[in-house]
Amino acid sequence: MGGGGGGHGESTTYKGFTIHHPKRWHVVTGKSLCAIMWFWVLYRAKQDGPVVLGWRHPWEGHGDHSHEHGHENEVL
Amino acid sequence: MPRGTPFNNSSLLIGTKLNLLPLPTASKFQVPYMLLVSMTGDSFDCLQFLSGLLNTLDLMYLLIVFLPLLGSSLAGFFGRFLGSEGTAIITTTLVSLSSIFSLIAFYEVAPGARFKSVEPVNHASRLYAWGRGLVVLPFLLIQPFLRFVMLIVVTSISSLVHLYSITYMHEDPHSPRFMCYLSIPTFFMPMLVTGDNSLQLFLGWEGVGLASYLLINFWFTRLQADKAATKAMPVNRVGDFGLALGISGRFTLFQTVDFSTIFACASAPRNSWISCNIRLNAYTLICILLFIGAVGKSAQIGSHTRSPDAMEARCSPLFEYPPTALIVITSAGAMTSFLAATTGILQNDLKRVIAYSTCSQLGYMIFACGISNYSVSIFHLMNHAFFKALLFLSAGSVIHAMSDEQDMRKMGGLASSFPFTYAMMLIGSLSLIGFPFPTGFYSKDVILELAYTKYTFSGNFAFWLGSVSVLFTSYYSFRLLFLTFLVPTNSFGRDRFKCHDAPIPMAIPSILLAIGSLFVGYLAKV
Repeated sequence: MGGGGGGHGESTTYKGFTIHHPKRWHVVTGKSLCAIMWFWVLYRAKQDGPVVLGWRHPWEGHGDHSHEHGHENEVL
Repeated sequence: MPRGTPFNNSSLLIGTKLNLLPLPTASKFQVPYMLLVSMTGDSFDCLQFLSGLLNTLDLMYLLIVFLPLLGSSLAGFFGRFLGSEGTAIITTTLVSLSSIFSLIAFYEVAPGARFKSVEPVNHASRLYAWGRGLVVLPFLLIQPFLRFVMLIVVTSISSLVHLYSITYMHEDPHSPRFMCYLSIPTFFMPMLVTGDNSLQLFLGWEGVGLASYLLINFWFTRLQADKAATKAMPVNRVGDFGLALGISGRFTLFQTVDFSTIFACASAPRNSWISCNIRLNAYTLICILLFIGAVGKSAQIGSHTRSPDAMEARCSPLFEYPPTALIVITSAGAMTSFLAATTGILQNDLKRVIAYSTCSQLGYMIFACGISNYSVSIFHLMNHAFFKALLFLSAGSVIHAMSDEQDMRKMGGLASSFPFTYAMMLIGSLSLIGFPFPTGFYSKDVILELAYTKYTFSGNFAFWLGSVSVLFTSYYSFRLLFLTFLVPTNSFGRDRFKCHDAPIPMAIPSILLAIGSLFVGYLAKV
């Protein structure tokens, strides 16, 4: 593989065994994408979790309209 | 009077006010030129402008299919003069243009589901005007909605693979030949999915098999590569023979190879028997022969497994008539997913695990077709393309960094050295196993649900085998992650000394595929 931002950062050698530390952008990008993945998983779990687990039908809505005080008896 | 263009509609010349501006002769400048005129506020006929735009868009549909062929031809015939970088830039640019045109065409077709046909006569006249003696194939491109989904998947994934390969094959002296081989399936797969007749489907089918052979045998000095290619070709030919017999049977029955005519006639009640000393229902025999073609193609090891599913979905109206054929397809797909998964848990080669995983997922697509849910099968194919391409590119990055070491048992502890590649593999693996809620979850869950709610013996058979396959898929996916990245290192010191994570040209396609592996399933879910 050529350059173009690749390669490695610092190295650590211990008893003849060398391990190269990754570049900062590799670490930041990898952690960012994993963070995006977990945020997405948890967000969708919050939105669709009850439906996936069978606790609620998809057409029943979220049911968390406690802030809309004037619409409790409204027929949708 | 402005100089003429290949377009037949002379009213595109937009009146005398344009005499002040030089009109380019090459038609490829026609559209941006018109846009420039419109911005200057000159009056012109909007309908004529739209007509010209549509004529250009007609050509765009042809370019989607033929640009990769052009790139492959240039790389193959002139690679020695263009060099590694030149062939890489040309092939990647042309395939990327094909991908962009696919997106534009999808935008045009998808909102109104407009049926779009490209008449060969108009294009023959245009192409002949551009270059005398050009051979124009007498085919008709039909672009319904699902076809464009396939085109987008094929061209976009191929363009990312081209981009990745620029750096991956940078040090290989045969890089121009590789880029040529890489563009060949990018031509034949769109050719396969856009055709309206069996002959064009067969042409694309054979071309994909040829491309598979060429790519397997790229490093022809390696004995294992020669043996694998030599094995793959006759196995593929067995399936192609079945497909050819099925096409011949259809022609015998319907006296045509045109899909629309066949599907229109398929509903007509008939008791056709093809006798070879055996009484057989014609529809059942034809569908099973076509399915043998799909089975033969799926025996290929590699990432290009779209062809079987494209063929299944393309012939779906015919498959609905013989219930026996559907049961055979469901059972075969379920057994494929199970057997491939059981084989995958015993592999130690990094790429073989992913290859058998591909075969297992293909089984899902096949049995989804067998339970008559063709759109769900295409949906899983689209999702699978993203996370499987991500896994293969990441595996290639690891193997190349570890001095071509492919045995997972000789890796270990790479998460600290390859954090980016580890993140990519983790995203791809979670999507593959159907973990909620990345891409793979939406299609795998739907397939298993549909199999269960079929309430037939074959449906339940597919459901239980598919569910056990999910278990095995999870096992070998996490085994791959643990052995490669998480366990204490078992690799040679010299391999760790030379290893490094992916450079930016290899990282960009991986990031795009990772985004697709996370969000495409939710965005496109049915």
